[in-house]
Amino acid sequence: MSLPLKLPRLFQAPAEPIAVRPIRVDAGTTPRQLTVRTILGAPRYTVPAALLTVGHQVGEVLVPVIMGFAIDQAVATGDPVRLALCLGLLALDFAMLSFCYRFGSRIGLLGMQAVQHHLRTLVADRLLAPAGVAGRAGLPGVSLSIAASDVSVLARAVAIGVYPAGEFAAILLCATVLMVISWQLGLIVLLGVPLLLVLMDRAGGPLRRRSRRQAALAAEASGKAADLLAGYRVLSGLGAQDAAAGRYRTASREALDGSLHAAGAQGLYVGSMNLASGLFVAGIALVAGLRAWSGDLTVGQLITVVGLAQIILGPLSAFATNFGAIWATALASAERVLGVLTLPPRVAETGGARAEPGAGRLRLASVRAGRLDIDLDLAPGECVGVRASPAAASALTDLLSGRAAPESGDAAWQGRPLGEYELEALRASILVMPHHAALFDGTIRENVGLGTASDTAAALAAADCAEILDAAPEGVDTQVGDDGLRLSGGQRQRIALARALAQHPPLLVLHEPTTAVDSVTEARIAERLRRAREPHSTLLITDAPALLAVCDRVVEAGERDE
Amino acid sequence: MSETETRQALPIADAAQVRAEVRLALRGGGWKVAGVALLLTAGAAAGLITPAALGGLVDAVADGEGPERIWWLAAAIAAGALAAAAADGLGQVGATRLVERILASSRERMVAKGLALPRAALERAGAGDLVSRAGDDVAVVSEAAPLVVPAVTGSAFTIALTVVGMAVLDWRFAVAAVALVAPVHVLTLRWHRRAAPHVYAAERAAMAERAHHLLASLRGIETVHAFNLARPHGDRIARASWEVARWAIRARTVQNGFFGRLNFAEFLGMGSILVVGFWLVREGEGSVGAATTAMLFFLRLFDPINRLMIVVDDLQSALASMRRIVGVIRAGDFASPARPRPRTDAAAEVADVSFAYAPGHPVLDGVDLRIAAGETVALVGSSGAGKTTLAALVAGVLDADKGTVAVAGGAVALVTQEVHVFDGTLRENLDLARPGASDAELAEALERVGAASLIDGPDGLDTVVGARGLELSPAQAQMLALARVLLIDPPLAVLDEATAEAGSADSAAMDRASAAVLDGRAGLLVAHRLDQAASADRVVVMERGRIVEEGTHGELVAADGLYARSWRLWSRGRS
Repeated sequence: MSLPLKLPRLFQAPAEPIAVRPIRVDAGTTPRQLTVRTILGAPRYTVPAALLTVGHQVGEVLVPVIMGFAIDQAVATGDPVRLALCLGLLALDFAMLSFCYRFGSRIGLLGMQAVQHHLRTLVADRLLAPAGVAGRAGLPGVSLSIAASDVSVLARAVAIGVYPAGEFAAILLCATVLMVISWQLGLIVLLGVPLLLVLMDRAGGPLRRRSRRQAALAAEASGKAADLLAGYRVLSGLGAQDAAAGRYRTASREALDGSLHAAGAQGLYVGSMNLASGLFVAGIALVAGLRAWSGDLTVGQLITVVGLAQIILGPLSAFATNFGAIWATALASAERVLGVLTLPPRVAETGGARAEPGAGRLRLASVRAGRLDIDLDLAPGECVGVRASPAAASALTDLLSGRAAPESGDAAWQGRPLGEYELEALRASILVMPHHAALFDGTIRENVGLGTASDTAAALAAADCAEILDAAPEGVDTQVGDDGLRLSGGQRQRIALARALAQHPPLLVLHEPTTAVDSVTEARIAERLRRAREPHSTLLITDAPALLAVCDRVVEAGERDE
Repeated sequence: MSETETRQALPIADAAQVRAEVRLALRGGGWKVAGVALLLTAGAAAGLITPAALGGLVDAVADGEGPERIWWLAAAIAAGALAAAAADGLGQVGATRLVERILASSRERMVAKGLALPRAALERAGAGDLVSRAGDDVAVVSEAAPLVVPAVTGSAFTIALTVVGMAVLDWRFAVAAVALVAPVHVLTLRWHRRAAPHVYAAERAAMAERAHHLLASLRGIETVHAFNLARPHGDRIARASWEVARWAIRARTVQNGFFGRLNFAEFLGMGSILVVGFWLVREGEGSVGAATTAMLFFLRLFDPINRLMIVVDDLQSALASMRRIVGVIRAGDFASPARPRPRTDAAAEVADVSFAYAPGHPVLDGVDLRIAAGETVALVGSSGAGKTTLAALVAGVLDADKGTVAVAGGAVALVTQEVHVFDGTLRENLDLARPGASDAELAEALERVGAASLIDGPDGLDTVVGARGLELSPAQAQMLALARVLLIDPPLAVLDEATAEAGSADSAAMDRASAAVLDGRAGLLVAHRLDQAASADRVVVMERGRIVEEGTHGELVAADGLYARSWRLWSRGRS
């Protein structure tokens, strides 16, 4: 059975993101500015939403007013017509407050979501930008928490532009009604309300601190549990389960300690708030009662007054929360979000040149970068092996992928220095396959083809992936993601190699592509690699003899002191 | 091997098991529960003084009583507020403390039991199941507790006593309020239980999807850049992000429906009290003051009812998480304890062992292998030959379906290619293996595996590593794992491709590290780099779950079989 409140679902989010006013961020932007710009991010939504919340709050305040009126006019007189009238009035008021809240909160949320989406896109784009991200913010755990939770917390500030308007209106209306009934009562409210606000803020301080500490300790404990259990196989291999359980108990006890302290603060807060508001009501009751006794107030007015005195505390505490807590947490998150948006790129400067599509010559003339010291001339179609120390090899891949510039010497592609190319254009010509290549969600076919290459079969065959495809339940259309296939290190490496081969870049740079496969497989891959790369150029940075054996020639990279 | 067919999640406890767990945590604390209930009842009762006194005020004014009575009533309100604040505050503190203790006890038991689960049960469930229970479910319950406990304790007692108060005023008020309002609330909760869970679940799933895409792109940032995938991946993240927004609006729509119904209930309650009050006064059976009190009573219920209804969701999801937590504790109770393994004077002796992850698909089939004390045996073969399974059986993390695995006694340490650097300091990562080890012992273990440079930094052993600290290279992480073995100092160490992920550049260092670990003890070494096999005392070649060749490196090369062929390919061009 459903209640007679079936309504059309208005104001749903459209399929495509709602565009908002772009939030401007530059090097000089402060967290405060960013928070304010976030609040003002979607006025087309927040202004109507704020007006509707005013309607909602006014409706809430009118409930005791109407009830007082009804007791005065209907209950005290015994007139059924007036009773019906008052009931109608009450129904009208409830309808107004209910619908105003329904659509106000929803439209406000639409605005908040639109702003949040915009901010998240900004952060994600910055984190993925080809120029890279320098420093700690580039660590996946840190940047994930900024892009996910800090952006959400910052976007919550949009509520500051919506709800406080309604709450303020409610407080104002209460004060006005009381003022009209009796100026002394109005005065008590006008003085008492700010006093209560300050008191709430003061009493809430230790609670906020303790609950932050509690949340941090609880997160620490649950993180520890997940971490220990993620290392289950390691622990069971060492027989160290008891030591690990003991370690968790310590973290859990600390979290418990934090919770118990927070519980004390919470009790103190609730108790003192209840006491303060109780005394406030007692004061109003006393004054109103005395005024009614002396005949200045009717019984109905008295009821209205005591009703209002109770109801005003709701918007009051919400007002304090919205302004205090939301603003403070948004500000802290804004600082971290800004930290990402204003990060220096890993690559300082890049040019704007675009490489010619197709073949080219790679020239490294007396190039020195980090530990690397190399001379190399790679003609179109050649396959050259490079033997290099680990440090020199990573300096070489950094250089060729545009992540670092040579300290001396010339590095050029198609006769133009690498630094003059736009990063994405350079990488389209020179594909440097990372040694620890990641696979992404999707099928094997999607991972290898990347949505552009068509002959994934040839590339998969060249990387000796037949055995993987045989074992996969849906062959090349099996999902790779989330360990769905439980690929071993060697299988991952082969699929990643197939992906690089399927792109057919003019120059492919492979860095130790077969470290995780057995020697028979390595030999098969070496055999097929040349054919798969024809007619393009290949640079193989490796120590594996089987791979070096298929190269046209092998270059030794020099190692130098930095 | 198809994972989905064999996956079998860990059990979920039923309500009775959760209750038993709660009783266990509260053992001997029955008087505390009674005390908390008493305090909360007293607090809620004292809370009724205010509206009752306000109603009295209306009557006092209507009856023309003197200001003295008005002063008394105001004083009663103040005293009631004081009593309510004290009792309610103390009661809530007590209730929260009780719940937090239950929570701490069950999460600790869950982690301890989870870590002690037999490996096979965990492999069947998938490691993700246990990790998500330990992380997500514990977090859900911990976050819900501070919201739910005060709301439930505070509201439930207030609501119950307010209804009693109304009945004391005049039973007809209570009947009008309860008879009209309660069914609406029940229907609302029922409707919500039908409409909300799938929307909330979809919202959470969309959030997980968003985090997943973000994390995948950030972890694979080098790949994203190399293949110019920033734009498609950015689009993917943006799509996932807006999907969350769409579900958030849908969830809000459901919530709006919920509050719309509550508003309707409030109107029904207010209207009925007005009508009952009107009728009572007209019939001369009640006073205007009583009607006022009833109205104020009901007005006071708006907030607690809303609070209670709001946390119903949190309460439900916390209970669901609690059942998953207790489920792990129960799974530990029912799992068979590790059988003591037979003894042998060799380091390990495997006799006619068979093993299958899924029935009908044997991974090992009648394997015999003896590892003499101090001997290093290398296990080679193509992938899927059963090397890892045999290594796990020897290490004792898997139990054979058929046949026996006897060991010399003492621990057998296993290091696999799966490395896990625990979130914490280097010291914490190492002394898991030997709790209470001295700094000198830890430093020496690192030194012997060639990782002394890890503690060169200013923080030494207190350097934070893992997800929130220094990121270790695969080779460094593996050296840390090998150093742990030295600290355990077992008679037999099993190294399952422990050095594979390091890459050939670091292979020399890794070889030295594994040699240091195997020095002076027996070792079983699963290797795909054949130079490791060549330096072992004996080489065992596996193929399709059986041992097909066995002997010293020299013998096998001379025998010109499978091993000899692999060796030729491997050594071609290597000097």
